[in-house]
Amino acid sequence: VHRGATTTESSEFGRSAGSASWLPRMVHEIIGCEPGRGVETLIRLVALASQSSGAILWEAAKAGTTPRVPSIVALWLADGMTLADPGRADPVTIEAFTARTLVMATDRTGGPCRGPVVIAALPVDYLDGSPGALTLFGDGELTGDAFDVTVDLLDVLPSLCDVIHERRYLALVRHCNDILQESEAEPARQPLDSQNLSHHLGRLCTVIARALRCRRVTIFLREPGSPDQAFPPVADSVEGTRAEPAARPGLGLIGRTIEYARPLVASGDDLDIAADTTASRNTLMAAPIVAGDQVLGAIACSGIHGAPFHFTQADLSALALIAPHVAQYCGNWLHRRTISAENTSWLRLAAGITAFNKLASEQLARTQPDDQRIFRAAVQTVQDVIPDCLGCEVHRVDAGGSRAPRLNLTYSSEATGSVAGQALPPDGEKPSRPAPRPLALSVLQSSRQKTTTDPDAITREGVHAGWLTCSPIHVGGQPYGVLGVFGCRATVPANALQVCEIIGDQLGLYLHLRQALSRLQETRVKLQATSRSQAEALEDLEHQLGGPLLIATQRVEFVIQHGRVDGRTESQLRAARGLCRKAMRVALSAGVFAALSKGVPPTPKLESLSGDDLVRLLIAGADDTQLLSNPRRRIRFEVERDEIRRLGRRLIKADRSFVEQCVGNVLDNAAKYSYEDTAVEIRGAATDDSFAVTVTSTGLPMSPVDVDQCLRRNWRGSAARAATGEGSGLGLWIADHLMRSMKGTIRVRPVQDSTTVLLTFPLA
Amino acid sequence: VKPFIVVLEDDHLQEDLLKDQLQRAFPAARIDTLVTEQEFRERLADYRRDQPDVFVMDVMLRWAFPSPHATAPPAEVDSGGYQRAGFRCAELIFQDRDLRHIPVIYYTILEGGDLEPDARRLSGNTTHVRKSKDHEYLARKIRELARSSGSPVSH
Repeated sequence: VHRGATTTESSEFGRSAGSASWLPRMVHEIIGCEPGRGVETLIRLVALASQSSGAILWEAAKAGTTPRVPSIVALWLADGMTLADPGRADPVTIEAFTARTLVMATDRTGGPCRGPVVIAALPVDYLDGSPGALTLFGDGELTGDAFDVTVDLLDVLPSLCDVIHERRYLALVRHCNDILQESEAEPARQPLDSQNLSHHLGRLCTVIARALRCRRVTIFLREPGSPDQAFPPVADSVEGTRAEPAARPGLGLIGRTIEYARPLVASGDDLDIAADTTASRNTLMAAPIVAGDQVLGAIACSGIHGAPFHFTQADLSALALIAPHVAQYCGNWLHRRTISAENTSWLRLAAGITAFNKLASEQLARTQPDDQRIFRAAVQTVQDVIPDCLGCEVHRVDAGGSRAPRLNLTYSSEATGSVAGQALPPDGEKPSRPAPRPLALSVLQSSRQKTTTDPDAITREGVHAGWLTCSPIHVGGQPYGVLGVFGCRATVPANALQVCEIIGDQLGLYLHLRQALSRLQETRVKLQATSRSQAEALEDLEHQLGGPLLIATQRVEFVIQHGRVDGRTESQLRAARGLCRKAMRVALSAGVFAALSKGVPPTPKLESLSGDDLVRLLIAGADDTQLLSNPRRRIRFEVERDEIRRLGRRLIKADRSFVEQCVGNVLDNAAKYSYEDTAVEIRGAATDDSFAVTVTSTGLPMSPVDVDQCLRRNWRGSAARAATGEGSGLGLWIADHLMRSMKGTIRVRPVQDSTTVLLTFPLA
Repeated sequence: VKPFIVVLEDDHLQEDLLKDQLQRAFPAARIDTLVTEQEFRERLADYRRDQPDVFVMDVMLRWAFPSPHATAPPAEVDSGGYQRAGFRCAELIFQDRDLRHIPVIYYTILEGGDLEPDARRLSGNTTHVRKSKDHEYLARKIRELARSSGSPVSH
């Protein structure tokens, strides 16, 4: 009875069964065993068939090396036996492996096993052409029957090994695929967070670790858009231990796997595994996780327990078969996460815009909208929707009187995170940057969104970020500003550009509405002022027209009732005449006012007037004004007849009623604004081609500004408004239009409290 | 007791006629004539001691006659202008504890409809009489208002 063999197996040895009876059993047991234990089962049965107490199957450690050395594929040892150095082949085995012949042990005093020693080694030729060997252990010599059976079984052993390997790896891939498919069915119910991903991939790692008998399986994945080149571990077969450090391209075996995008196994001195902290020689392999031309990460297996004590090429192939499934799963997961993140951000954007619009409508309803609150809400929405956003700025267009619109930084979010590197001005504070961002200016000029991820260009913009985009704030062709947003990732987040564009449009709409409402308000105020002014003008007209007519009527009534004509009668009639003339002037002014309001200039009926005509006209005007002036104020109206008559034989070309109107308006002003006990002097001054009637009064002074503005409609001097309050501001405006219609002019020349008005007429 | 009538009218042509007519209607009446808003404000203190029976006031009133020594008008006069100076004067009466009971007649060439929006703001005892050659209506109103305020009116 061999040590380590069971009773049944011992009895089989006793019968010295032939290979014909072992083959069905071998196949049966291999198929019935766990896929990962197939080769061990095979070796165990070979050992039993050869009546050995142990067996080791070897293969060439590394293809292409000279000389080739064997390394263990699988071993079986009877209970209680262990190998002192499982990685090293004994001389008998090496000889069989090298010579490709049966080698019987001649010296059985020692070997790699405690107890039974090597009795023989036989060459094995694998189907792929690589050499191998089978080492048998035992207490005695290999019998002839056992040898025959062993040789027979060795004929089919390579094929069976292949079948076992394929079955084993197929089972592994299928199991992994099942896990991934099962987890893919979950996203509809589970949140798409990294923890969830780690959980599923962790299950996968555990399965791989069990199938390949490795101590630890780790999956490294790079976060898309991450600014650095790190591939942090996201899943591990060993829970609760210290996380692996992030893999980096080119660094260590995992790094090279990522860099070269091909599976690698540590298999000798040519691999620098010093950087792989968890690896030891020949116990590390990794396969890249590749989607298209992009390396998403890597699956790394480290440490191995049991034979063959290192990762074989077959193990690496199996891992490489699993990697595409992981790549597809991770790609899908990242895609789903991107879509989910986009959906979330759109929902946030919708909520942000709803809140923004509510705030905008509240602010627009106010007399003074708070723009800073609006900008803060817009910036907040951008930051909520784009988690990668480091900073957000609102630049406003400042026409500033210059032709080329300029940009001013109006609102800026505070810099967040250490990547920003530059403190931005706090809310509402005046920008400290001397010059606006070149990209923002470019956007202002082109009215098109512009984005850059070029590190040099971003540095020139004065921000430390991975991406920067500037969107126009405009409505139609009207620019209102630029929205600048930047973030830390190396690429622009999926929907960031659309979000910025939408928020820019919202801001544009708000500013456009604000401007439109402001203009509307200004127009309404102007309209109200115009309406009020027109109402006052009409009331003034009613007052000026109704008053004189009423008094004239009463005076005529008095004369009629009095029944006789005397000196008082004449006085009353003169007054009535003056009042009627004034009423006529007021009526004519109303007509001119109405025509000018419609844009129709007055049309004079020109005639030639002599000096005597002018004297009579001026005296009549002066008399009327004197008569209607308050006698208690003692203002005298004096016409210097001789100066008027200096016109001599020359004539002026004018409309008589227009002249009466202009003179009357000027004299009315003199009566209203003269000081008590002063004289209003009416004179004449001739030149070669014109004649001027001058009216000089002493009263409320006019400033140079007043002189510039006194011919405007509704103008009233500040001193006149403060002192008397009366007047509509139409008299000089109408006189100016009438004089110009006659090719004449009206000018005002103040000297302290003396004011001279010149009505200049062209000579006929 | 003879009626004491205060007339605030800045047009001297109308002021003379009005005074004549009122004197004819109320021969025993005492009639004070004021011609500017400034003068009215200066006399308010006098009227607290010697209270009129009725104020007859124009609506469009000048603040003062031009003078080299004129003082600047109060802010409300500067901003309010002369168009509704009569209402401003009436407001002073109605805000005055001693004078608020005295009726005010707006005697103006303006239509009542033009005045209504402004007159509505005033809470005192007011009446609008449009200027016309018929002074009888004004006299009748003065008589009614003076009676209702408790002052016996003799012709």
